Amino acid sequence: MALLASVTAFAPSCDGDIATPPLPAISVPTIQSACTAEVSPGPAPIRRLTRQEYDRTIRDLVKDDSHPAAELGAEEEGLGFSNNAQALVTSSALVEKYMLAAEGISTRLSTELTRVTGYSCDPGAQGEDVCAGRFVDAFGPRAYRRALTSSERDALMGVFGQGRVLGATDASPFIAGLQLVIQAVLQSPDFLYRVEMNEQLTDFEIANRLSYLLWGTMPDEALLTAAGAGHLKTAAEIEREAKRLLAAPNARATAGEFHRQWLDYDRVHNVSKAASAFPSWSSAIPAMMERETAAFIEHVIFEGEGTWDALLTAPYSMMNEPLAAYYGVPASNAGSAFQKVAVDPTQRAGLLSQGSLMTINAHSNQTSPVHRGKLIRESFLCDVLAPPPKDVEINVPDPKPGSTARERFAQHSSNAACSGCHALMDPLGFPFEKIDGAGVYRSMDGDKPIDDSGEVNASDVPGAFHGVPGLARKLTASAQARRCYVKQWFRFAYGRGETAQDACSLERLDEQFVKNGRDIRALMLSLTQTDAFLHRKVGP
Amino acid sequence: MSTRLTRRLLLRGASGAALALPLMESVGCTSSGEIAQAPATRKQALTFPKRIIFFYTPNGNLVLPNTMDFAGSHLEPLMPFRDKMVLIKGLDMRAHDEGPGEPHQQGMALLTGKKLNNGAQVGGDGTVSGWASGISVDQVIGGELGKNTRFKSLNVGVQSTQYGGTEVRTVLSYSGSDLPIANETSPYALYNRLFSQLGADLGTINRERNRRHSVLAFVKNRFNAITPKLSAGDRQKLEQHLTSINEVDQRLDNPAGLPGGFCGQPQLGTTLNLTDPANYGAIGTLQMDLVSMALACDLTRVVTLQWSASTNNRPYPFLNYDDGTGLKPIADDEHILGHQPDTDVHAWGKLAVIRKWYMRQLAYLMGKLEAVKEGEGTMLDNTAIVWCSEITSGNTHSHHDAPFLLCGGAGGAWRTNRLLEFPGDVPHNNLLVSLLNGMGVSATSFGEPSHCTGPLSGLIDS
Repeated sequence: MALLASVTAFAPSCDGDIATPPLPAISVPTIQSACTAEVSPGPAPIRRLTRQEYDRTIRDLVKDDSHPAAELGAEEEGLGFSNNAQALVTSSALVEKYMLAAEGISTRLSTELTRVTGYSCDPGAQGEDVCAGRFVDAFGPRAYRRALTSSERDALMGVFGQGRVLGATDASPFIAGLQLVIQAVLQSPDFLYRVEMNEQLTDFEIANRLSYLLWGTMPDEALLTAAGAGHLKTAAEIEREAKRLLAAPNARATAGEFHRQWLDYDRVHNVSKAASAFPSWSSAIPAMMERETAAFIEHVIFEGEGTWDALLTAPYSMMNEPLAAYYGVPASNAGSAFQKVAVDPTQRAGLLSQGSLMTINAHSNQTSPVHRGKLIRESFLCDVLAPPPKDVEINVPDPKPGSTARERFAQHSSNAACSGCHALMDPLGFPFEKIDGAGVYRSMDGDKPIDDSGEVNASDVPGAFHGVPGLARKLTASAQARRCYVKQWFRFAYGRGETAQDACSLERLDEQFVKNGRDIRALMLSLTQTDAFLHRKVGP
Repeated sequence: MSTRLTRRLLLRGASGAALALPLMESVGCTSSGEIAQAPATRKQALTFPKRIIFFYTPNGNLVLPNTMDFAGSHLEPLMPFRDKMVLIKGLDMRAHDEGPGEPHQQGMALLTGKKLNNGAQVGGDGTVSGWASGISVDQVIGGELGKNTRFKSLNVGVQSTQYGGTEVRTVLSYSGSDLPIANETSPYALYNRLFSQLGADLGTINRERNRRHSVLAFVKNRFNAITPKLSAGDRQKLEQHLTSINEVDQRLDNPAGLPGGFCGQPQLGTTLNLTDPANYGAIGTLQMDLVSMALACDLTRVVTLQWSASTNNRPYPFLNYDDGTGLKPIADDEHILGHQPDTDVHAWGKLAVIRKWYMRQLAYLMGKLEAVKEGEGTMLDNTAIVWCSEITSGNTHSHHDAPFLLCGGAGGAWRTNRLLEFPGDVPHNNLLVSLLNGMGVSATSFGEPSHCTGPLSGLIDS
């Protein structure tokens, strides 16, 4: 089994084809910088609004907070992220749903046109054509997130005329006309996509890049104004706007969305636990666990220490009283709201011991050292593991008195067919053994004390450690783990996999991350300062 | 023949001793391709359209009985319908052993008969693959049967996007290479698409249609203005979007359903939490109700119904199993259960409960179609429901010796109340060809040509 050889610290990647296993082992020169005098932005495939982006854009465009994109269906995923530009496909079913969503939005808006910023007009007094023109001037540039050309304006006025003639149920001819304008705009590529044409990014294109990266929505008035005035040209101008965006609540939602997609912790809603093994588990737990993890991440980044290290090692979490009681964590201050609650730093550490992650990466009646080790190896170290042989009988040993999970799962290391890959996962999974399969701390596995020793082998932080806190300290010391986190952000921020041309962008991001004390908001800011962000190369 | 068997024996032998017994059975018992049964009744259904539904359940693990007596088998719930069924055993999904991906990904190219493309989609075990490399058979049939219907096909899921997004394991249907069709997993969204205009007066329907045409004409102009200015890769994305717009625009003129007879507004009942595993069955029932009504209203003639993603890791807390200590909810990850060796009585006992439950759902769908009268017969007589899965068994991940079920009269395309068994290497692409033929699409090959030798022998009378 050449399984070890297929694990690489840094997956080679060219032209968006990320990894076709088995991957050859490569040695990565770390001394020589990948950066040269030449600008190297990498590819910039056209991006379609995701469901979240669609909803937030509609919210900000016409103050409609009804989440119309809920019915659009799940995006095609690539590399674990739902905004991967290459993965997105538009079926006729999706086209129909864009149509229905636009019709719903136009109907809800028709009685309150003033929800469109800058629109105010009385068709009775000022004339319908004048008012329609004002509507197009107020709505069009904000929906397209750029200035309209005069022929684009004329075309929209043409749609108004057609809608006026065709009429609509329960609406005057004037409103029927405007409804059709809204529907046409919301199904246009100018709205649904982030259209970029040339090597030289326009100020409006930069405004869109900034706003969707940091806010997951359309640019606000200030940003559109800055773009219109030509004030988004230099890296410094862009950084100034990025700082403003990062300070606003929308940035929290974006950071939250990244971590949710990276770790998929909301899968906690899919699990079920055997009452015989976990009697205090109930159907109320998953929603609280999801909330805990989301609140913890937000607190660390925006209210707490703000760093990658704290994300891994923080001796606290966010709990309400019922969840703290479930974990058996003393929480005198917690009520029904989620509050910062201190945890025993010898038992738990930051993100890694979150109930959501522990519960997902476990079986219904016991822990799974394998899944937990795999989580660390793949999501935190960005290693690609070879698949198990197709005919392997994965005989998950039943929990039985007198044996620990470590003993039961030891067969992986004694069976030659399994040991190659399991040697890379299990030693990263056993340290989690003191968090049971439903997220609760324990010191005994049945009637035996737990051995929670582990090892981050095949990495830049070799050596033994104990428990989740020990693993968290190892990962904070690991450049591989830190670069993996940066790489995941890169994929999310730019909606694509990294390529050979992105080596310098990745190197700069990591350099800045280290320089800024591994501050996550600083990393988000750095994502607006790379070649990949500031420049564009027209693809083949 | 003998060399084939030898090769297969060798392949199976490598998988472990536990497989020797089923293999010997399949080699020994299948001297003839067909087990004699009472002749099936054929109904005349010339004036009613044919329909086809692909009914997918995850992880294989369905064991077919050796005769048309279903008692005690996974198919027991289908007993009342057995005279309208064809059981098919022993097909080999050979194309799926090739190409990238792990077996649960590879097998989802089920309806294309071609291997997957390379790509960056992460499978259950970390393996990566791309989307399927060709059109799926439902879309070809939809192009023919559904020429004049409002929807070419309905691609419906139950809780089939469990990994968060749409990926190769959450999709059955493809309009072409790298062109997956995501499932509609929300009954509420599906309802809005299907029935929001049903029963509206003709004037309103016409006006709404003209408004939509007007909007889409504008939108098409925008695509045509932008697309030529883009790079080839971006152009391809937008052209594909435009193709879908054209498809929708053309179909706007097809009938939106006339209420009356068996066609009417279906009831949605109380709103369900769509992610709760406890609601799996209730969501499935709702989707089957909507699909049946869409067929009764002739809004479409082609449906794929994907219960879960392949690999399905979800539990079945609404089903109970007694391991000797009393009935308890099945909280296990289904995929892990399937990985257990055949000797694990309780794992396979739970899986049997789950399989029988799926067959009850299939029986429910058949009952819904049976309740719609069409001439002398029923809608079920004019429909083919094809049960299928991505692998044969969870502890081999084999794509070989796969069972299929054909339920319903298929408009008389083939005789029913039969069990067809195919020893040796018979590619399932042949079944796909026969499904095309049975639905009136002429074809002699489908999918990867080297894995197709023509229609499935014995299914359709020549």
